Amino acid sequence: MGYVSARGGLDAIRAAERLVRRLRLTSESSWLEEDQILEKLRLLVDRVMGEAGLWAPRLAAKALRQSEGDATEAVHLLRAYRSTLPRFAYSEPADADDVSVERRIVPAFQRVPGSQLLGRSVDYTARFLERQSDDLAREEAEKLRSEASGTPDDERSEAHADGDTPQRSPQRLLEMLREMDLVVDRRRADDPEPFDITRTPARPPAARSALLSSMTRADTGALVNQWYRNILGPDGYLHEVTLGEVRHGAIDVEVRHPVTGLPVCVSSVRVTEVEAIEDLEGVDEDRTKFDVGYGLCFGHNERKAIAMANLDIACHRDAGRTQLEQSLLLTTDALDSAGFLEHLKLPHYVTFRSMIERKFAMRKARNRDAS
Amino acid sequence: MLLDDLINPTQSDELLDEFAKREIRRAMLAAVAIPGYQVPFGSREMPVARGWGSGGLQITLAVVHDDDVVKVIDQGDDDGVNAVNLRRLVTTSTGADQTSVAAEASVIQSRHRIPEDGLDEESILVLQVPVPEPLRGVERDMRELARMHAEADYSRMWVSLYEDKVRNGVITQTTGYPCLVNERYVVATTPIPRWDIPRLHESPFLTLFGAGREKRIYAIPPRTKVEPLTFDDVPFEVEDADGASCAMCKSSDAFLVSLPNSDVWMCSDTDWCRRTREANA
Amino acid sequence: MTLSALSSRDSTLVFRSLLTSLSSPGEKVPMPTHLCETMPPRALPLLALTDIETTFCAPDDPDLEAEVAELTGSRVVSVADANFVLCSTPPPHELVLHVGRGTPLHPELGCRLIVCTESHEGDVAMRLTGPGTRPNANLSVSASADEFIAARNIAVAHPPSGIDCWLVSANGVVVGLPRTTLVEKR
Repeated sequence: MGYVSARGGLDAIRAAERLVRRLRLTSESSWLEEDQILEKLRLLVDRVMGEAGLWAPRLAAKALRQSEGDATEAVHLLRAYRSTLPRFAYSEPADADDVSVERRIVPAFQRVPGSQLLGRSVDYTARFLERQSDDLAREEAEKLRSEASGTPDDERSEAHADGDTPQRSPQRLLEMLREMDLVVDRRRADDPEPFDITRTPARPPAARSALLSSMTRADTGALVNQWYRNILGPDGYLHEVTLGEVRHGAIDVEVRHPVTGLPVCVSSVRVTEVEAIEDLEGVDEDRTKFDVGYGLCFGHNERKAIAMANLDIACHRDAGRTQLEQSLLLTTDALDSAGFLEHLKLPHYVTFRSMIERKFAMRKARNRDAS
Repeated sequence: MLLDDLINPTQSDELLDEFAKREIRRAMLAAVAIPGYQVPFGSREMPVARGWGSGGLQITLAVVHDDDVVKVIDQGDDDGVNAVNLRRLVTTSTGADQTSVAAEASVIQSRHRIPEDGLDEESILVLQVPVPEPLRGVERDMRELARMHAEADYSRMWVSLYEDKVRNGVITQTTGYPCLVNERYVVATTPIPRWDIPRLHESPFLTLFGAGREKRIYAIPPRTKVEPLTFDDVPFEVEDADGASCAMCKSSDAFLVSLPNSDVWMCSDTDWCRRTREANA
Repeated sequence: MTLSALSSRDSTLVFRSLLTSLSSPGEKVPMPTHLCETMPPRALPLLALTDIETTFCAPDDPDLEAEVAELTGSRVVSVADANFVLCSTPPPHELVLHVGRGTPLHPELGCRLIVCTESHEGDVAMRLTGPGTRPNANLSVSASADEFIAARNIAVAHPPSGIDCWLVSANGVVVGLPRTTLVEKR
């Protein structure tokens, strides 16, 4: 039989499932605790939650453990789990000004209202691979633990560039630029419901909220690539922006209590927020002003939020002239692209048979014409 | 209290929450009411990857109840690994029975084939769709594509078919041949082979198309006109096997697939092949 | 009136009746008997299909409207904005011409109109043609439903926009009239 590879039935599937599970569970090293994943691989957990569009650190840690570190697979597990849960309520609008920052930098100015707060970042850490022995590292960890005695704020003020006490909700640079009348004002008077990309597929032309939601849930690598291909690739309609805000911090999420009708806090989520200041130089643009792009995603993921803010303003300025909007809305989801790519592994012998048949039909037609 | 009813927390095999099923059902009803129109829906993530039948699976899960009997095939084969996997998910989460015999099935989910026989008025055919947009070969911009469908402006599709015929001597479209449904919408016929296309026309059964990744559902109701796009003087051609017959059941009037570089042919519909062999014996 | 939320299985069964009725316009499709015996059948399509993401109204049936809203979480809005409109008697032209028909870009936004009729037997005979209809499909309706059909024909005159209707009899038999069905007097 020619199709053994495509067949095999339930036994083969179960055998593959057992193999994956057995090798994962019985590997020689000790059990990987959720807390370890949450703490030691925190940025991976954040990335997975962001791409899943689900704030659930413990579930994300479980998913990463089950997927053996495959981030896209972990995103799939989380989203498929969420598909089984009904939606009961909508959260109240949250004001990004209420984010309590753990890190905040403003590259656009040296000294800014609300001050710079470098926080936990490897930006200026020399990227040397630490090759000390594990024993030495453990010793150091013990020493640090005994020294720290619960004053993490020390480090925060150490990392605090201008020496003042850090403000947790600093004024935005954008407000200052507005006071200087340097920004195109695109604030709208109405308050439309945000577009829900999980219920209505977003296609161009789409509301800005649809674009922002698509990017906030997008694959990090895909967004970075979309940004870079527009810098150096064949499309080339994006230039470098100046970052007005890069923030990472926590914010409460509230829903209205079904009985009392009062807002109650149901969770606190961490987000990365970026504002990107764009120089306007188009002939139909107000060259005396700047415009601003916005990026926000779950967790600590600055690469993603910066790409998002750049692409937000780029898409606005593009105004449908190219297919940038379509690319952002339709091609950046981790599960869409990875799933379709991998479906090529499925049998395609019916379609391939039909393709071969047309090849011969074309030849026959060509020979008929020739004779 | 109501929420409890809807969540049904005891059923851990559920792959979709009740609200998701309702949404998919509303999209299906719209699809049936507007034959051939691609209805957008809030496609959910399934335990199978997008591109692996997630759209078909969502439709099947929203349609099936425990009195149904389901058949699931991939390439016509009930035992293809992906078919087995999808069938397992459907039967364990809905309590439906399974069969390989199309005539016994009330719901048939398929990738790339319509069973050779056995579909009747009681059948619902669910086709998994990788690419629901039939015009993507002639237009990439979705705003323009939406306009073309809204205005039934299919002129560029016709031009492309004409150019194809002139350049290549034949219309080279292989599977998923574009068809006009109810004289209004052009649809992508999944990629089923051209062999299966005539059976969509005025069929006794309802066909539902699910594209999970692209978040579209469309339908061809029973007893509906389905015309493959072709010219009056260029007859629509199904796949020609040059008079070959199945090495196992001797059928020559079924869709056959061949072994590489050989004259050995076999039915792609494995259950049809089995039943034909049994009838011959 | 006491409605209750439908179980998962009952929702599926009601949906299947509605799917069959739209797939075979004009065909008399019974909804599940065990539900029709315990609740007014006209409420079943709403109980099976609506949730917090939908809108509906039942302008001539405020009690039922309130109960459905509470049971499903569906929001009550005006006739023109509703995804689903329920009428306990064949509605006047004015209402039928007022419900949403969607747009050529989004015909799926057209309203689903559920209309109660005493029965599917009446003095006015109609012939049905279009996708899904059987050869010689027909429908006989009362004089008041005849008026409603005339208004419905206007609302579906510009496809692909339009409205899709279900006629639900007092004993729970549903007849589907998707927008593609051509309904003519015989």
